[in-house]
Amino acid sequence: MRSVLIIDLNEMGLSSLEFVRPVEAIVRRAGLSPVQRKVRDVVEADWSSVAAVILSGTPLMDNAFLEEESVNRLAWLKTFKQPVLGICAGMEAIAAVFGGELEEKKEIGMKNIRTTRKNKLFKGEFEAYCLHRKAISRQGDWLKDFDILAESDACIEAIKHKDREVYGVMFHPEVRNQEMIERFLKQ
Amino acid sequence: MKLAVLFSGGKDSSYALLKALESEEHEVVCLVSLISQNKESFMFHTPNISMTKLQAEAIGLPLIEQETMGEKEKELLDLKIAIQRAREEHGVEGVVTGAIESVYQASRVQAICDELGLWCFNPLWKKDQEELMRDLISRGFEVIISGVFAYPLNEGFLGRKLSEKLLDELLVLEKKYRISPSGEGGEIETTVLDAPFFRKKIKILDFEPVDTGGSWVFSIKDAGLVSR
Repeated sequence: MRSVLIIDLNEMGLSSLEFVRPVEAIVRRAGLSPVQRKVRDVVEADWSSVAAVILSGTPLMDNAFLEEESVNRLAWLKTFKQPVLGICAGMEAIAAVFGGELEEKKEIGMKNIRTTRKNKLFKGEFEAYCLHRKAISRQGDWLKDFDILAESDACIEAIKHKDREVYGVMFHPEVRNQEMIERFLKQ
Repeated sequence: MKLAVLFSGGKDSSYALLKALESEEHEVVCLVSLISQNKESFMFHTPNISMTKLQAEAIGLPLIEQETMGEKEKELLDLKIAIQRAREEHGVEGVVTGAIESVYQASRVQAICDELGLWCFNPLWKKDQEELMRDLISRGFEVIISGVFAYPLNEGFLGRKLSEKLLDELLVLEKKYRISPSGEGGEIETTVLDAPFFRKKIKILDFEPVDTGGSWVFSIKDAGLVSR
């Protein structure tokens, strides 16, 4: 069975039950084998053989994953060839790895999201569960390597690397839009 | 981290409490119960909510009780007051809920915690409902059905203890009537009489089935604590 590496960005184990376990369940239902690791525990053997990588969300209060050491440990994502999906904090981590900046943009609850560019994960307008205090900033030139796939009234909601299957979503598809993760895993 | 658990006395908040107690990073320092006067409360479990005082005594944790009229958004202000009390009286830094599927419930508690600068934990979030029921049975929880609110559930279910047999019956009803076997859609309410973290268990001494117009509530009139 092919495996999917789920990187648990949570500082607290109690939060992993909330932000990692639901994603693991979706990966299992897709017929794939989830492998869960904390950032500090990921070694090359983990990511060199997996079919895809998913970076988890975290609670509103948990920003430890943005510390320099944690971001540096994820530098391999810059050259990783397999599909990557960053969910909320995971998207913020992807932005940090690729030199992006964050700004204060809070969303809590179901929000209306508008697709702005055709992609493999979603289309049109849809509602999704959001839980974040920060969002990626349009400042700087890092976004030149990414397409913006979706937006809400508050912020950029989804991006994809122009050349590779590296996605980031600010919302939590594991809550009400599981089919998006299933489509990501089908690639 | 010092945590408060939002506690209704039902199976979900009790199982969330177990998860918090099992977490080595945290210390549960109090329980918080909203005593809603509204039986149709959007946020808070109501049958036998007064049992939480006895349950807290059985567990050995202080209980913060906050009355609320249970009106849709005003009850959130009462919840905020209760959580503020937990912070002031017990130095709470985070709040644990038993939310599983309800985005309405989860996002409102998240917003309150955010306003108060507190962490929010939902350890049962998106947990498979059948798996949750089986976990409760295997971990030795004594859970009774204390309210039924959807056809064809009737008074015959009141007071029944959660068991593999009862779960199998509920799973049959799920297929036929699309009733959530764990009552996530509000079809069933439960009361926990014993759990792995109880120091004493609850014994019901007197009860009465109450017809609330198509729904039934197992009204506990008298109960006490006995050795486990």
